[in-house]
Amino acid sequence: MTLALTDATMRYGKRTVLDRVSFTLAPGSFTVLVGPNGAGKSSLLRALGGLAPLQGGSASLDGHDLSEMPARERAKAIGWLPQRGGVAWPIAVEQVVALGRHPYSGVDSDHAVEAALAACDVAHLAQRSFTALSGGEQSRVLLARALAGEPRFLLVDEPIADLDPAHQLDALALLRTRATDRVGVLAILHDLALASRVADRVVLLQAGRIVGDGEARAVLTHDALRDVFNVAAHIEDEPFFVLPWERRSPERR
Amino acid sequence: MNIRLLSLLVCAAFFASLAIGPAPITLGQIVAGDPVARTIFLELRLPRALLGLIVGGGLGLAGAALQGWLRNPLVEPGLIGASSGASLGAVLALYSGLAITVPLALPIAGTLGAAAATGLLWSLAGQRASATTTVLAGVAIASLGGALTSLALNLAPSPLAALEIVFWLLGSLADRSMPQLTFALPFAVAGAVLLFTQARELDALSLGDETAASLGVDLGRVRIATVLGAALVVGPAVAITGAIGFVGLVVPHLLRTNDRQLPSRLLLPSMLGGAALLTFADIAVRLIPTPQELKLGTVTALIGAPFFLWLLRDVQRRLP
Repeated sequence: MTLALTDATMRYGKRTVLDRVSFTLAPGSFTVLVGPNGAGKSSLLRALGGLAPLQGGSASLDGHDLSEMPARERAKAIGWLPQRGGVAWPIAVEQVVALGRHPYSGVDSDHAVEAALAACDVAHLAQRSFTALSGGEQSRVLLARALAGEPRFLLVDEPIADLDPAHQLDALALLRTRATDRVGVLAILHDLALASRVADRVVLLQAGRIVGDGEARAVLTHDALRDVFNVAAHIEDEPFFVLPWERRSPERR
Repeated sequence: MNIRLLSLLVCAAFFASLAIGPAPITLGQIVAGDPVARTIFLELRLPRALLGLIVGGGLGLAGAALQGWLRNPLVEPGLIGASSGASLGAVLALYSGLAITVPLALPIAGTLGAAAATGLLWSLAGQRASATTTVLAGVAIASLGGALTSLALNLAPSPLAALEIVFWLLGSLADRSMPQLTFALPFAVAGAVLLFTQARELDALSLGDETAASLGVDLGRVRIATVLGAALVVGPAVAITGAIGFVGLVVPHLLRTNDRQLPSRLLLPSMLGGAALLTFADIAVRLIPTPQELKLGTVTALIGAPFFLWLLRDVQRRLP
């Protein structure tokens, strides 16, 4: 049971955003995707979710090409949470989360919705209007929306950007526990310190190519941080974490 | 206002519309078989009341569906160009004199106009167009239709013909016949069914196009069903009544209460509300004592335009 990209190439006009990327996501792993702005992280997530056409290669779920799968089956298996999601109308939080059950029309979804609300610590907001919430609360509601579909693969694009530290840790712990035998989680994170702390596996993307893939301490090395992010970092060994410290590469200025 | 109350309102509007008119006819006369009363009832009052329900309901429903599809409360059915296509077709029928010589020429020409406008929208916006592209193309087509209508007016063969066109353009439910009504009805029903089938998809679209797609929504199919549904509901109706503005804009907004923010929850209320509002407005034009009966489109625009301004202010206030 895997979600995979094989030699995936994606272009926007003439710009190549993914360059023959091969990548496999298996259940049980909390994988974090890191890379500088414009490296193609969100595009990789879209490709993996079957949401954007590829100009080369393929995206597949258990060996079945995503582009040939019925949309509803794909939606049941893969949950996707965009970077800056929103809700157009002032809908009640509970209803927003229930929209995550869209692929399951006709199935009783109350339990899944309640569980998702509770997991994201937004059950007390259930009757509130989404648009009246703070940015952090909105992010948690949208995460609950993605969890409500109970997908086997969860693709989340910067889920903690708007959260305070406590809720950042909560959200990461939640994603961590979701990554069980049945579920694979791929999250884009910009915070390398948190990424290095929580990830089972770190994938490093640069200019549309995967340049590192493995355990955090193997991928987030001094060399990689300098070459890919142009930063010097403090790297602690036990427990392992990375703290970007100083801007490098004066030749760019 | 719940569904039951709205349904009651629609019934009240319908029966009031049957009862009120310049000629004083009574239920007793109709039952007794008085030929004049029967003729007035069956050929004037009944089609007028039914048409009010169909046109008003269609405009309300199409407005609610399009607003949900585009996630914008300022959208109205005229934006997709079908109504100006219908207007143009009908005006051409009037201009050429076909409207007088051929029965049903007006609604047929109008419906062809609406179909042409929708077809043009398709070819302009393309198969994979976004909602924005589709609406921009719709606006362009609506302007083109308006310009061609003006041209027909400009070149009208006689002042009388011009006057006839102008009066038709003002929009009215008066003096429409039963055959015209039965012509528009199947289109309206088909369009309404099509729009109602998209209810859940419109809800998912509240999360944005891409998220909706990730939830299994086929964006292309929603676009086709919504635009085609709205065109079917609005086009033939406009072909019969002339342009009636603002109902499709105002009604969904009036009924969008806290528990009806999800597009699917607004479709039926909006249809009922549109039917009631237009029928009551049509009763009002009969009751307001003016030298000539006021045109319905004029009245709805008179009420609708200030409301639109208020709506804009309201939207502005909610922006940060």
